[in-house]
Amino acid sequence: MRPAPHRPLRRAVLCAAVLGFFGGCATAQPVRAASAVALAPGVYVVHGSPGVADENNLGRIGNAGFIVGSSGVVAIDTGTSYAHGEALLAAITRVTELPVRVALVSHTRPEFLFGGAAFRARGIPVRMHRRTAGLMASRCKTCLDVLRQTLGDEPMRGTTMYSADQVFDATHELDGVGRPVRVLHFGHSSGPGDIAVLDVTSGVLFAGGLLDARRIPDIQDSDLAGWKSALQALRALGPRTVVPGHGASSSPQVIDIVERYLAQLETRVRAMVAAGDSLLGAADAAELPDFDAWDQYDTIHRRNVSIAFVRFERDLLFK
Amino acid sequence: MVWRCRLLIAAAALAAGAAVGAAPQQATDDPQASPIWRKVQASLFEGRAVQPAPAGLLTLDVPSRATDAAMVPLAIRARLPPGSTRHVVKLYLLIDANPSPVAAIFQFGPRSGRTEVETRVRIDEYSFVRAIAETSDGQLYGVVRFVKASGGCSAPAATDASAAASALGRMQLRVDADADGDAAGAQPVVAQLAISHPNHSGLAMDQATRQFTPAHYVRKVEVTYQGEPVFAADVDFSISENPNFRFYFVPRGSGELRASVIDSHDRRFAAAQALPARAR
Repeated sequence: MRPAPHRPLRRAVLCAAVLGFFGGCATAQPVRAASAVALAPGVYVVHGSPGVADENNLGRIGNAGFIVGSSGVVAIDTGTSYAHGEALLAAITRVTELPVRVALVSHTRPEFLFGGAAFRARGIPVRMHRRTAGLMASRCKTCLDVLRQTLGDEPMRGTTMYSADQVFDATHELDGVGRPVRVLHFGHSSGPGDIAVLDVTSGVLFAGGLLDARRIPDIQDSDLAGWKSALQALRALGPRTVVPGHGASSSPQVIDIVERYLAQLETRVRAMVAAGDSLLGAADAAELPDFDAWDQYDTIHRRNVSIAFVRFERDLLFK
Repeated sequence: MVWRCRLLIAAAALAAGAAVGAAPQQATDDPQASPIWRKVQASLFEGRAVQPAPAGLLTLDVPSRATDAAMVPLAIRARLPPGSTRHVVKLYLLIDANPSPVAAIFQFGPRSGRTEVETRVRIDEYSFVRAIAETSDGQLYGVVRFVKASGGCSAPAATDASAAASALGRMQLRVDADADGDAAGAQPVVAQLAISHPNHSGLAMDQATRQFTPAHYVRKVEVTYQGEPVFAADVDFSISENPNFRFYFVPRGSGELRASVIDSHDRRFAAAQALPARAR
């Protein structure tokens, strides 16, 4: 099914794409190790590859990061697979000898949570919001099956479903790393249990599902009103640097840009529903030229239109 | 009632065949050779031949790649040449790979004006989707399209079950006031029926609780204008959550458009929309 002859080309394209993030593609192999980039003293990001999960990027399409305190490390997101989780742990070990105290999962998408098995294998607890854990339990078995089909058995070896070791319900300060780290939950926003993580010392904000940079944000699990107010709350924090769930680390301007996408999507689709338009032509009719160069415009944007259309239609029916 | 019974028999006969792990369909497969299609043809059409539809007679408009497998919009349009002595009495919608491949049977009354319908369906995986038109002289014409859809990781967060229950059966009939048409109302105008209903298939398991949500879905829709049949649909859980149908009717004078719906628990829901005589 997969056109094998295209692989070298796709690999080259991927290499070129990754170049921007990593500053180089030293090996002929696609990136297997995870290289951490320092954003501030003790604050690191490991960027994922752009695009959808495939056998070249090994599904490692989400960003991860970690914060090194005086007594321990907190990992933010765990990667796509057991092997990816191991690679992230190795990246941490290259930077510090301090123990990893906890791994946070920011939201319920496979590229952020399936590396959790590797952390747990080393006795590191995986921590997530109660509703993230609930959503994971209700649907992620299917995601894992699909990932295994897409990537193959070998890259997914050892990757299993698991239950969170620690769950929480609200915003709180994280203990045990010897550095003030705030875990922020704004209610149902981009997802029911989505969190952001703020390193208070540096002002680096890990935004998880709340923000993507030059990649279409996915509204599937969202409450749009809750998301908008969460974005205002993020802006009010005055972060210095934002690590989005997908895409390059950015200035806080990324908050405005994601807001603008969501506003344009909503305005356009609400007008279509009010006019009694058909869902059949909705995705074609809801082109948003300001965002058509973004990663996943042809996939996630079209799905967003369909999801928003059906939601607004339901609003109309229930009002 | 005969056609309804036929749908149930066909569904029962086919459910086992479709559900048991046959290899997913491929775009390059011969649609005529599909084992599911052969069974449908034998049970639903009693072996009658389905001819390829001549150009213009029947179209099936559906995206070849579905962005949301739980909500795939599609339209079926049938039109006989002007002056034809025949008319189209039924449109069938079949989705080979679904657990119950016979998704819908649509009927059009004399007040319909156009044998067209648009709705939204669930498509479980890569599948042939077929529309078949039956004419008043008993001929069958078919078109087939291949659709790539995959639930995958896109399974949505569970909707609020209590909110859904309180809204169950709420309906909205919508006729565009400025719709195309003439002053006398002799031209068909488009109407849309939206039904608040979870349309549970009974086949979806919650992975956390290992429980199946019991089947509960809309099975019959009937729409009349001035008491005369416009549109009827015999449907099942291949239709997406909150079923939605767009169809045509000929207003001709003032009157009331009425919709009645029956679900698989034999609950009945009704909606009506009064239409003034057209002013233009």
